[in-house]
Amino acid sequence: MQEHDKSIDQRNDPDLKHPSAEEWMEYLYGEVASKRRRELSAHAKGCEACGTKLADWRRAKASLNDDMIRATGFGAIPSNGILKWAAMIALLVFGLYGTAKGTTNSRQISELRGSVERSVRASLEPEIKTRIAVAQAEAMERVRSEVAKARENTLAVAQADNKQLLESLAKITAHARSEDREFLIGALQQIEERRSNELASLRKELETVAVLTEASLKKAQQQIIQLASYSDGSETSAQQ
Amino acid sequence: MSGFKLLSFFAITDEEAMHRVQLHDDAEAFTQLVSRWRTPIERLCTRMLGDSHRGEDLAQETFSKIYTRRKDYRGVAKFSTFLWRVAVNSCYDELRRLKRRPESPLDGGDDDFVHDRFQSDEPAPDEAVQNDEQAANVRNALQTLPELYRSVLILRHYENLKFREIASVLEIPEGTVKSRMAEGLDLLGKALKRQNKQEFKICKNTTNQSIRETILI
Repeated sequence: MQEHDKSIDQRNDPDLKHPSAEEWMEYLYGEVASKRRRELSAHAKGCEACGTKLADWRRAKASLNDDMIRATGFGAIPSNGILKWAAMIALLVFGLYGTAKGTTNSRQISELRGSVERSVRASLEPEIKTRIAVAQAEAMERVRSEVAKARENTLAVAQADNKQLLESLAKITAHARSEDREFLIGALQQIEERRSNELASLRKELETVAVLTEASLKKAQQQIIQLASYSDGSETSAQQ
Repeated sequence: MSGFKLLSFFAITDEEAMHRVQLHDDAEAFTQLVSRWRTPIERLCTRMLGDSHRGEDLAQETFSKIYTRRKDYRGVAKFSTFLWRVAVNSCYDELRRLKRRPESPLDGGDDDFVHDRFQSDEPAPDEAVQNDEQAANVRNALQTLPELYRSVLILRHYENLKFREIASVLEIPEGTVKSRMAEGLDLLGKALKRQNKQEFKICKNTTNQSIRETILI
């Protein structure tokens, strides 16, 4: 019976010795050597009790991170805070310096004033520098966006100009082409007119030639007939 | 000359700067230390007290103490250890002082305080607001923890000090730091669960009320 219980225990706890809470904290915050880390991981996987505890701690740790996201905003110094700090330092150093020395002469006072001024300046300097950097970055960003906008505008205007130019070019070309066509048509018409005139005169000439030819043909016929009648007469007279 | 001196400060260690403060009451060295450590100390004090204005005041007080107790600092220890210790002790003192005054919101009914803070946050389905709420939940839960646990949790989790460093800041054994850390995380988990339950109850009540109103209409 006892043996049976023991075997169950061993099944539930692969490593009978549970790591302490302290060791789990080291594990959770990465302050443990890599070999031991692997052993602890294995244990947490095998041991339900330790696994559950570790999961709870992990959850609590993760919830702390919820506040980390806004860590920059949370507890950030108000903008006038820096002056308060400078004043604090000045008062502290000035006040305590004075009492420590007991007696003060004018040289000491001027020395003190100098050191206070320097400390105030030194404490303000980083703040002012970051503010200047931020302002510069903002200004740069603004300039960049303005330039980008201007570039876009110019581009748009240039594009519009180009379009207009192309359109007028197209118009001019179209106009020129139509003029060319008209000229061509005119030329062709002229050529055709001339040719038809030539043809007409040619036909007239041909007709004259034809008339003349007919007249000369008729004349030739008459002459042949006359000639024939002459020859007929001479034949009869000869027969007589 | 002063410009050169200022520049040279960027190279000196905290310990060197503190040494100058000790020996010469050097205002510039002290300013350098303040500007290096102001933000983390303010963060610690704000988290310890749960209030950013009190946190800022307490951080200033811490640096005042550092200056007045400058002779107490021994060169062998790290300056940051000395500084954290003074800051944590200032927080403990302030919390004790606040507990003695019943009108303080930090005193007594912590749950009521937490509850009030919840309600004052207007619920909105905005992610940023939700994040704010989550952060406020954690901050409030942290406030319910005893100071001894809170300081360990803050120093380890938020300020990333090793357990060994925390042990020398608080002047307790390292094992105690770790067991407080474990206990602190347990308590925090429980506090958050309690808050969630409370929130759930508030939700349920408002839902019930609106259902009742709808029925009446």
